Amino acid sequence: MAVPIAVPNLGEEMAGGLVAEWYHPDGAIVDAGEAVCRVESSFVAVDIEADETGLLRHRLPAGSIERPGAILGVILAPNESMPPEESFHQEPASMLAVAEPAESSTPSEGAKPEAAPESTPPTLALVDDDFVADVLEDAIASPPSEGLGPLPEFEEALIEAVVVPFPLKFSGTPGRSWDEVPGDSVEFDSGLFGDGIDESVAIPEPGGTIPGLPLWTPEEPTALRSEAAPQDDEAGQRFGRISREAHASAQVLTMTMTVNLKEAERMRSAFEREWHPGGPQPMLEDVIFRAIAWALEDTPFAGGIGAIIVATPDSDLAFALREPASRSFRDAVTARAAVGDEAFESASWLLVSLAALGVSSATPHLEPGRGMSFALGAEDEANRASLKMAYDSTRWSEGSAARLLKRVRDILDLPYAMLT
Amino acid sequence: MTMTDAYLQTKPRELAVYDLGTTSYEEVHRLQQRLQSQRREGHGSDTLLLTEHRPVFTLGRSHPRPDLRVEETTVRQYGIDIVQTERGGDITYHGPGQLVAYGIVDLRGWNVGVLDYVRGLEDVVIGVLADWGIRGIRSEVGRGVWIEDRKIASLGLNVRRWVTMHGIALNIDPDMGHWELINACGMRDAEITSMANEAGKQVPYQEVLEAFVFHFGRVFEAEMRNVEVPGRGPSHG
Repeated sequence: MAVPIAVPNLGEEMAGGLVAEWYHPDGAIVDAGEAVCRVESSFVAVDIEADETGLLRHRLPAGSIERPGAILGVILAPNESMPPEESFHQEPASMLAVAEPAESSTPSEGAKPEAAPESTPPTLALVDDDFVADVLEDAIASPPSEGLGPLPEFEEALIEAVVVPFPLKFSGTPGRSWDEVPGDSVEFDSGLFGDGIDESVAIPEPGGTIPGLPLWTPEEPTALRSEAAPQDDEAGQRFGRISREAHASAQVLTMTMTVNLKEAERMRSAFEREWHPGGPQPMLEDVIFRAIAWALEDTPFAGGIGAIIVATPDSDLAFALREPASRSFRDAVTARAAVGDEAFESASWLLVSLAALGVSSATPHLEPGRGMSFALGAEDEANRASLKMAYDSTRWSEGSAARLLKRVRDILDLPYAMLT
Repeated sequence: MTMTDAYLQTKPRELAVYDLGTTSYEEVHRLQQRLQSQRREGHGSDTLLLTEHRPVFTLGRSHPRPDLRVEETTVRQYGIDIVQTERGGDITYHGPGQLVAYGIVDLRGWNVGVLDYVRGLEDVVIGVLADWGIRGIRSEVGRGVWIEDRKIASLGLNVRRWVTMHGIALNIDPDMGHWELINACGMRDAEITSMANEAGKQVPYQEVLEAFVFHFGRVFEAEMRNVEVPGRGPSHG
């Protein structure tokens, strides 16, 4: 039977948490005990694990804020279908028992993994006085009976349009595969993404248990790490040495993209009037470069197709949207901002899309050297042009070029995901 | 805060306490991950790791981009690393002169909720501060411990299968100049302080560490069992 994945009850003061990230896409097979998603408050991050092995189905997207007990998704057995939406709104009997620490003392030594609850899937109704929850509920209640099938554009977009406190930022729900975007292709040098990037991978246990030692591997001092803060009289020498080392190990990340200029032009037109009021009107290149620069450089904001962040002037609200060029969508945002009719127009916003600009391929590679450049190639008969960007690794911290490449790959692999 | 009934349980709580001395953030981070992984599987024991790190800025999961007041290259020139972590919270600083306490605790085994544990950690620090005549408080501004509107201890946790990692960091006498490089905890105007600042005198690291262990045992009603680590340990007289 379907095993629910619920927001844990973290304590009486914890009204809810941000569903920060799904670790696996909708429809993935997960193993029992594997972390499937992360719920966060301002000071604690909780990984929620799968109680059973099975097919993971998302119910609520990352980026939403949910109360304890809210069902975020389910794990289905083979050939099992998604339970009807109504079943998620039944008043539960056992949810809090699942989520809270056991009432009685639990032996901590040699504790066996707990069996999945025998009762019916425990649920709690979504918060009905919460505007966001209402929107989500409406949007989710309306899809076809087959479950999480394709939604009409606007409703689908509403699922993404989740209001969160601004500092929490977003992550999104992977909803479509890249293959569904016709004519697109993505190529990567997979050898670049291998080492030390995926933090979700369990740390291999080399042997020994607490307090069995050695638990440490000898630290290898590096030039940058092995010294304390520089003394004043050493600062000059130190700076020179760091600079020489950085130059010696510099690499250039070159990213060649194929951009559909027609799409990019469409986006430019759509945004022309909403460009930052204090700045010049955007040129085509401005849109392209800004979007891609944000997606690549600004780690918290890396968007999928049509992803856009709108921050109200006081930056206490933000929206994650899909299809920002849609008039109806902008109207909806304006209405929802609830701080005045011109909220959207007066908002500062950041475009973080790649695919909405018609980026159809991206091939990153690293080579030694230094330099930064942008180059837009000539347009071909299919309105496509190559866009080449080169970033100097000395602009980034150690290893960030590899992380950056991984981000690019993630964005293109899951074009609808907003990654934080 | 007095312990509520929810804390009470029959099985005595016991912690293995490791005084690691001065460490790099990453080696202790790996150690924490390993201990948490073991604890999740029901092995090992609840553990308290005490250390002071070499200078490092750490980032919370939801704030992967460092909130710096200066260029990242400038930070690097100070010899300070920037490390991504899986805890909650925003950017913070660790460095010499700061006691960092990481608890790897099975909250189910203790029959304690996450917030109870968080409040307990704050109470531990408040108890330590009181020993030096400093009045620490909680604040609506954010979690951690404050002296009026100045932050003295920062807190961030990761919880997986009810086993915690990360913890709380108490400023004893760190290089306050390093805090100037970041917007600590994402707060633009937060003033950071230290025990030395507040007490107006030198505060020995090792004495604070011992007081922390004492108050941890008092607040959580746990037996604290010191474990000697070969080649590690007190780095301060």
